[in-house]
Formats: sequence, structure tokens, C-alpha cells
Amino acid sequence: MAPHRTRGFTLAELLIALILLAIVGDVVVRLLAGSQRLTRAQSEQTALQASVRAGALLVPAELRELGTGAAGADLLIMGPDSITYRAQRAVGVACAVTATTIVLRSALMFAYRAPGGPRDSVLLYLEGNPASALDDAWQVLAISGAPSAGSCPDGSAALDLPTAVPAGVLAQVVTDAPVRTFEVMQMRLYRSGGQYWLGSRSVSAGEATIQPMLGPLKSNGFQLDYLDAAGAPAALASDVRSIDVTIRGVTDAPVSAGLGRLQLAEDSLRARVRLRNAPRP
Amino acid sequence: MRRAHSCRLNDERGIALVVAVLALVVIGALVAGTFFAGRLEQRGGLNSLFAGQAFEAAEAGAATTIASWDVATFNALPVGGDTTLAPAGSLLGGNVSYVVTVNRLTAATFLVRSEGARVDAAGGVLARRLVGVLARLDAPALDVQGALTAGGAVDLGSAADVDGTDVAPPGWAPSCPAGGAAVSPVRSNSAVQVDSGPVPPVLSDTALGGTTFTSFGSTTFDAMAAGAGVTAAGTVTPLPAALPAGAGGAATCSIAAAGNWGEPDAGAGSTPACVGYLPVIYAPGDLHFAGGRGQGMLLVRGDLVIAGGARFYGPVVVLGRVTAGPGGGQVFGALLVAGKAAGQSQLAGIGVGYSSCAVARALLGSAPARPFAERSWSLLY
Repeated sequence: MAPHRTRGFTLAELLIALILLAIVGDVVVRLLAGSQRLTRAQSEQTALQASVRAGALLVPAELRELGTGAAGADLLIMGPDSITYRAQRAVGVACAVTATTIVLRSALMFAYRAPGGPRDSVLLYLEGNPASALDDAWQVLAISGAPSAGSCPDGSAALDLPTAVPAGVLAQVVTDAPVRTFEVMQMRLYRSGGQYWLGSRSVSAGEATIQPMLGPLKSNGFQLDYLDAAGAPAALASDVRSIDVTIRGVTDAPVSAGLGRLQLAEDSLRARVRLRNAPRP
Repeated sequence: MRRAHSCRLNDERGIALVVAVLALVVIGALVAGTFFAGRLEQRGGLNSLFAGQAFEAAEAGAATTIASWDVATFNALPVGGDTTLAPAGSLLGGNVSYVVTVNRLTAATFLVRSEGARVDAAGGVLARRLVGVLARLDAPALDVQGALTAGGAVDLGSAADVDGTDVAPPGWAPSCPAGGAAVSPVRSNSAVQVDSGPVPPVLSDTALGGTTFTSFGSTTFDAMAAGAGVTAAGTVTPLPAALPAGAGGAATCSIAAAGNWGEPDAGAGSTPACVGYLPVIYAPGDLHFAGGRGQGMLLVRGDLVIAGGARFYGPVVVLGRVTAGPGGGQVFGALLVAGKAAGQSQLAGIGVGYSSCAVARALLGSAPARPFAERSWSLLY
């Protein structure tokens, strides 16, 4: 008769098993949910830090080459969360200059992209008396069209930039005079989809829509403080010698803040950009 | 009984193992995810750090090159020429280095390119940055309005001894263009006496004073004297000297050789290696220039005697008097003599021919470089 007694479970055994199973299941579910929250939070934090760090690298890199001087300040409009400026795009030398063309020597051309009008303009260096720096100047000239392949008078490869060079300027140009190109850009904080972003657009290219650079940011997530040589706030573009850039980012979605609370995580970075091309004493 | 017991054991498998494995998987995934995120963050941070170090190295290279401008090497480069300096790799324990290339763009302007690199222990490049700085020679601004600028009384042999016409020194054409605006043969604030013949045209300038001879725009006589490449005293007969050519190389100018004031001559008997060497020569006291030749800028704090057919190419500034010795000599460029309250400069036998090119070449040849006053700096990549 013993085999009949070992078959099946008693009610007590079943209840105990169910309770144990429920406890284990609950633990597993909590563990999985916690794991998911932690993973999401880590992912959001990583993205946030990467975004803020990118901002602290990109913005200074874009603003570092700004200058001022007789050819005008590169800082065109200074705002607390926006800036319009001449972004330096290329450096080279003009192996020849005519009334309609600036010929850039390819071997000494350093550019993010080929310059072209009307997006870009040229700064042409006028040396004047070689023995004196007092009459040196940069002349701003518009580029009137797309560049084309050309050659320097010595036969080396070159890039022809169509432009109009006034006779008075032409008379002052020397062979292999330094040349820079720039593009008028705007960088600002803007709101889209309920979130704040840092974006930029090319003003000189006629771009109406701002393109996102990084984000999401806080409502005060892009802050610019313009400083003079003494480190005090500067009101005039010609007085600016450095810019404090502050980036304040937030996560794209709320993340766990402990005790079951969910909220947007924040992070920030500040970088001081010394304007390398501000006038020298 | 034995069979029944065996069946019970087979039925007691449970879910402990499954739960344990599941828990291990979850914990493992958790740890791996954390590690991956941390690693990603660390790599991102390190890349930023390496890029920053390479950038700082590039900046250091450009700044160091300009601050310690090698006049003898860079100023001797032909227009369009370039030179690359030996890599400097002593920064941050050798993991950060820079290489500098200097291009001469025009007579006065240069492009200094400095590539900074951050390498790992095996020498693999982790980050590179290239910085460019446009620089120009910071030449002293001499106030030259006469072939001879005299701050005191002078005695000339004849009017022909001083010529304000802008001419290239013999043998310097065509690289040294002439035909620029002429200056007055003599600019003076005192009496000009001539031993024979008519008195040459004199630009009378009562404002001519001490600063004409001691202040040269952004620099001064004292500053230039302090940075002079050659110091001279007593009696000198300068002649150029070159180091013998190495295997497969060209001869180089021996700038350390005593009495080497550069080579103004061309052709047979000249020292081509020193043609591009135009030093600043400073005499703290009196100087007796007894024959020989030289070029550059000659600064004499005391009196200067020119004799033995000595020839100098470039501006000569003398705070005392100038006297001709036996055999006299010739200055191609400009002669500025401050003079003294008592006594006059005796220039009979010394020819002074104005040459704007010789002056400019000397001033540029011995000048240090400075970044452009505006828009000199650029991040090339």
C-alpha cells in the first residue's frame, strides 16, 4: 500500500511551493526591472556626458580662431545664448592675384572643405612695406562663385577663387600673400520637440533652418560670457579677448534617482576660450 | 521499497539551479553593462585628453619656434623655401612631441606649422593636431631720409662722396631692385662742410635728435645691441667664413667664426654660404673697421673709424663720430651718425651710397619674427 501514499502532493506542500515560487518570481522580476533601469540610466548618463563633453570641445574649437582688427571684428552679434561670427574655414597663400581671381597654392592650402561663394569670403593679406608692420592689413573680399582647378605661375597645382579685386588692393598684393577664408555662422540655443538644443546655421549661405549640434540641454544649457583682457565682462566685440562657454545638458528621458523616483539627470562643463587672433599689443 | 525511494529522488529536481543560473546571467549582464558603459566613458575621456595633449604640444612647438627665432636659419631661407626642424619629444616623458616646419612666404612673412602628436608606449600615434601661425619679421624702423644722417657737424671730402639715389650695391642686382624714391644726400641738424667742390643738397632737420639714433619703432638701440649676434671691439677686418661641406651636403656659414660679418660679394673669391647671413654687429666702444667686408646692421656706441677700403652693406648707426682712416671705405645702405657736441665727423674718403634694398635686406635679415598683429593663428587640423 505504500506506493499509493507517495504519489502527488498534499495541500500544505502545494501552498508552500506556490508561496516560495511567488517569492522567487518577485525577486527575479524586481532584479530584472532594476537591471533595466540601471542600464537605461547608465546609457542616458553616458550619452549626457558625451554630449556635454562634445560641446565643450566643439564650441571652443569653433570660436578659438575669432579675431578682431581693422578688417572688422569676427564677433558680429554677441548674445548670452547665441553668437553670430565669422568662422575661419581655410588658410593658404595666393600665388597669383588678378582683378577677377585669387589663385591659391594647393600645397599650402589647409581647409575643412573647398571654399566657394557666396558661402565663404576671403581675407587677403596686404603686406605693404616689407620692413614695416605698421601698414599691414587684411582685406575682405567676397567670393563670387565656385572654385575651379588652376595652376600657379610656377606650374604647381592651385585652386582658382573667383572674386573682384579692386585696383587699389591689387597694387598692394605680393606673391604668396597669406589668405584666409571665413563663413558667417550662427550658433544658438533653440527649442524643438519640447527640449532645448544647441544648433548652428550658415548665415552667409542663406540657411534658414538651424541644424542641431548637440543636446538635449537645459533651458539655460548654452551660456556665453564675453571677457576682456582683464577677465571682466566685455560689452564691445573689439574688447573681447576670451569667452567662457558653459554647456548644461540633461538626459533624454528621466532616469532613476533612487527610492523609486525618476527625474532628468544633469551635467555641465565650462571652458574658457582664449581668442587666438585677438589683436596683439 | 528501494524502487519507490529511487522514484522519489528522481522527482525532486526543483528550480533552484534554474533560478541560480538566471540570477547569475542577470548579475553578469548587469556587471558587463556597467563595465561597458564605464569603458566607453573612459575611452571617450582619454581620447579627449590625448587630443588636448597633441594640441598643446602643437601650440608649444609654434610658440617656442617663434620665441626663439633662429635668424641664421629662417631669415636665410629663400622666398618659397622651407625647413623642417628636428622633432622635439621631451614633453610629458616623451609621449608628446612636435615637429615644426617653417615656410618663407614672402620677404617678410612666414608660415610656421607645428604638428603635435600624442603617442603610446610603443610609438603608435593616438592623436595629432596641426597648428599654423603666420609670422612676419619685426624689422626695426629706421628713420632714413638721407644717405647720411648727421646729428652733429660733418666734414665731407666732396659732394660725390654721398649719394641719395636709390641704387643696388654692386653685384646685388637683379635680386635687389633699385629705382626707389631717392633721399637727400645729407640730412643734418648742423653745419655740413665740404673740402672741395659744392655742398651737396642738405635736408636740414632741426628735429633730428637723440631718438633718431636710439629708437627704431618697436625696438631700440640698446635692445638691438643686447640681441646682437656679433660683438666687435678694437680693430677688426671682417671676412666671411664657411664650414667645410659634409658628405653630400653643402657648405654652411660659420657664424661662430670671429670676424664673420656675412658675405656681400658674389662670384669668384666670395663665400656663397654666407650670402644669407646678415647679422646685427654691436661695438660697445670705439671701433676701427680696417678693411674687409660685411653686411647686416652695424651699431657702434663709441666712435667709428673706417679705413683700408672697408666695405659695409646695410645701415650703420654710430652714437659717436665717424672718421675716415687711411684708405677710407664705403657704406652701401645708409649711415646715421649721432655725433658729439665737440668736434665733427671727418668723412672725407668714405663713400655713402643710399640703397633702400640693402637697408631693408639688412633689417629683415637680422630681425626676429613675431606673429601677425591680426589673424595669425589657425588650427590646420
